Amino acid sequence: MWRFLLSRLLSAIPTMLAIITLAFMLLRAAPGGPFDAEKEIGAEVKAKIEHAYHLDEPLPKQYLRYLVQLAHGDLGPSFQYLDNSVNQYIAEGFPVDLKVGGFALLLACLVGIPLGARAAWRRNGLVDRVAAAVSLVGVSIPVYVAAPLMILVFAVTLQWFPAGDWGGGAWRYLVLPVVSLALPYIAYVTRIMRASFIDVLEQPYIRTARAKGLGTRDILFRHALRPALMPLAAFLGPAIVGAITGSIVVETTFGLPGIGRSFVEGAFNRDYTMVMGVTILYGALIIIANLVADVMQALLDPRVRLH
Amino acid sequence: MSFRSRGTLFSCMLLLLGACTSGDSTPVGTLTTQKIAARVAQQHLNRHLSAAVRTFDPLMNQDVPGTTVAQDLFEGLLRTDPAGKIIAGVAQQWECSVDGLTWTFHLRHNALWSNGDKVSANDFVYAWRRMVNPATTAPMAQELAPIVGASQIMSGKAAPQTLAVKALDDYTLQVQLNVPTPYLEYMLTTSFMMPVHEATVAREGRGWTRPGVMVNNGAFLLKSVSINGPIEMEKNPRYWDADAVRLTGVTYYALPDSSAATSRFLAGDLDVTDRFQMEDFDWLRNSLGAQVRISPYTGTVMLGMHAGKPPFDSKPLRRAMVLAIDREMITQHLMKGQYEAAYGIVPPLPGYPPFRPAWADLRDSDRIALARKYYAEAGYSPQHPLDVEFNYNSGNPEMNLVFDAMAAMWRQHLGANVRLAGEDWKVHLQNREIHKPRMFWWAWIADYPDPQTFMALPLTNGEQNYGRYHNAQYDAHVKAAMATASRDERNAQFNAAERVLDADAVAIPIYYYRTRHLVRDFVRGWEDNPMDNHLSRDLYLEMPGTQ
Repeated sequence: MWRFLLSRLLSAIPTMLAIITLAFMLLRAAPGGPFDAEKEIGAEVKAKIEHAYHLDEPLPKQYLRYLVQLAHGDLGPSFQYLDNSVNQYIAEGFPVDLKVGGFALLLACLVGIPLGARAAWRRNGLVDRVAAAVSLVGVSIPVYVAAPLMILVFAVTLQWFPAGDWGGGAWRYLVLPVVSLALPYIAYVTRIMRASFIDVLEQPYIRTARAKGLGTRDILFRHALRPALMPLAAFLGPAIVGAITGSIVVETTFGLPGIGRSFVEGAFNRDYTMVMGVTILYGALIIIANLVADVMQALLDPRVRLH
Repeated sequence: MSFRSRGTLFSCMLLLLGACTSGDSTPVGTLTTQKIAARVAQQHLNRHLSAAVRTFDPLMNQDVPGTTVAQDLFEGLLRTDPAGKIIAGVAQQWECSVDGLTWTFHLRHNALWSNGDKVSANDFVYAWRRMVNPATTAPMAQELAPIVGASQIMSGKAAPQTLAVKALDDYTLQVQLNVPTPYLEYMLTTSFMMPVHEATVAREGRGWTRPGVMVNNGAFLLKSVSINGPIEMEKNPRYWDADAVRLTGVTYYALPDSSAATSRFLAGDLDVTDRFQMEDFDWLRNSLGAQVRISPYTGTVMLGMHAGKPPFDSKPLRRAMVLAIDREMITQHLMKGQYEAAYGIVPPLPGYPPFRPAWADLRDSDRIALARKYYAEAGYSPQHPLDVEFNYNSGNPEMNLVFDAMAAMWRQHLGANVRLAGEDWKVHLQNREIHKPRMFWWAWIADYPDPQTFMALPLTNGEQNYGRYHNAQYDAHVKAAMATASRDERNAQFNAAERVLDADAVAIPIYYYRTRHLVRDFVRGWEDNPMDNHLSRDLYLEMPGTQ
């Protein structure tokens, strides 16, 4: 196991280097610069600013400088937000995305797993129909529709929850962003679990368990759950990253202080260091999440060997 | 789907909500009396910013959100009152020499920094030298060009100490100008002319703006800042006019999505929003009444044409393009009467009679006939139509509507094929800078309420002269206006320049901007003004119906 982890982490180094190089080159190839503005700032001032950020150096030198900086854990200053570094933006913003994305996935699992299991157990029954409806709604309504709709109903009209803001991460502020982000994941998890449970429940050993007179709960949770979770484990790796990085829309709609907004605005404003920093973070996150998914699969199924 | 399209979608939902609740006795967005009473007792204002603040260093700021917070945290020599009129700030009195070149400011003796130090004339000398010092890399440094020595310092040819700003004593400041600058008074209210505390800046470097470290002289203190989150301010007890400040604190929320800001207003989280979507106007007005505020703003939306390259090197063609546009249709129908049709590049300004060309009063049929005559004169016809690309920033759905309408008007009235080529904002900026587009987006919002900010755009060597317009007569009029200390002579020269510009038709003015705010009925002290300045120190909360 440890050898597997070490080898996967080592193999991640060239992948990360490729991500960094590609992102660096693509950003610099994009037309327009970080200090182009509607109002000209004057040639002398612009030259000074570009010198201060080393933008006047040849591109290879800039690239090497960035790599050395990165090796020291320094993502550089933001080109747009002068009072803070990219490290500060990520340190403050990433926990917000992590919390919202993490809770959304947790909610998706808490709702989707039992719902999918129950739907599979009583196919074409009431629960199955409800699960199908939930899945359809969750998949069909994108977050950018669900989030404003929830604000209008639960914040503006009923005034049960705040319409936005972070509130230090208090639960009242988390409910609407987490639920709106969780909706599609609830749908996916329910569908995956239903299909997976149906598959598992048709296995001979489940029939044997039934024949022996085991109860529903025992069959579902002692014998069927573990193998049924295998496809979910594979799904959760990319889903974790999707939930964390996909919260950009939720951030914008609810005014959450995550890094997604900085990432999108950074791309529009050619804030090279900000975009690079967040890209590197997201890249690392994908690698780690896939690794976690592989380990989870191995833990769930002894037949899976980690090499 | 883009963020902006999502805003439109959200607006549709808001509209639906408005329709569903229109018959209700409690309109959407209305707070209960108890909630209002609690807010009034608290005297804490929740304001919206249309973008995140880039920096809290007033001298490094270059945008509206930064200016808004800087005006709460710092006070310059002068400031604006709720109506936008210039009044005394740190300076109690000031005078200008007859030639308009020497200004003397007498500072009040009771102005203090938040650490208890006295605000002195030397603080302004330090701040302005810091501003023009190229090493500071202040983006608005060029605005100080009217001060003697500023340009040489900015180009690295002179030391910052040579700036002609002198502290005659602790409370007297003298400024020498190269040219009469009637808008200097307004400049002194802006963030980049505010004082900064030298000892703190020297000690803390770029970190001097952190809450708890910042030393400032405005009506509020920076309590906390969360990245991409709220900015908390509390009343500064050491502010010289603290007794007149009724708010105990202000929280700013940076929400680039104006639909999200509207929903936060309706939910009662925000008391003032910076803007709302145009399509929400009708139902917002029905639901919120006078809380919806629309007022003239000193900015012009226009298009530019490259006068140095075909096809727009032809003056008749440019005139045809200007005349074929029905501005009243755009402003009254398409933009729901929210904007004022523009016929010149300078919007209505206090003390400047607006320019209105004769063609503006022609009947539609006559105007279009004239446009067709010029079009034919330029050598175009239905058999040989104009085919040209128009480059613009595609990030504004409101403008896309207008451009679609304009392209349709050119097609219908002239037979011209104007292809709309939306592009990323930064790409558009770069393309304009290298004078690539033949026809381009050329809107401008005033830095100060003076015609000069607009009239300088098409100057031969003007940095924003993207269409390489050149007319010695135009330059002569503008430069004569900039050199005189007489207000009447200045206006006459600018007016003459506008006539030249109109005859040359290098710009296609469409409409003048307006501000769009939602302001709670319990927020008092808010007055619409052309520069859209609303200092929190003048605002307070009071039960509606109370006088």
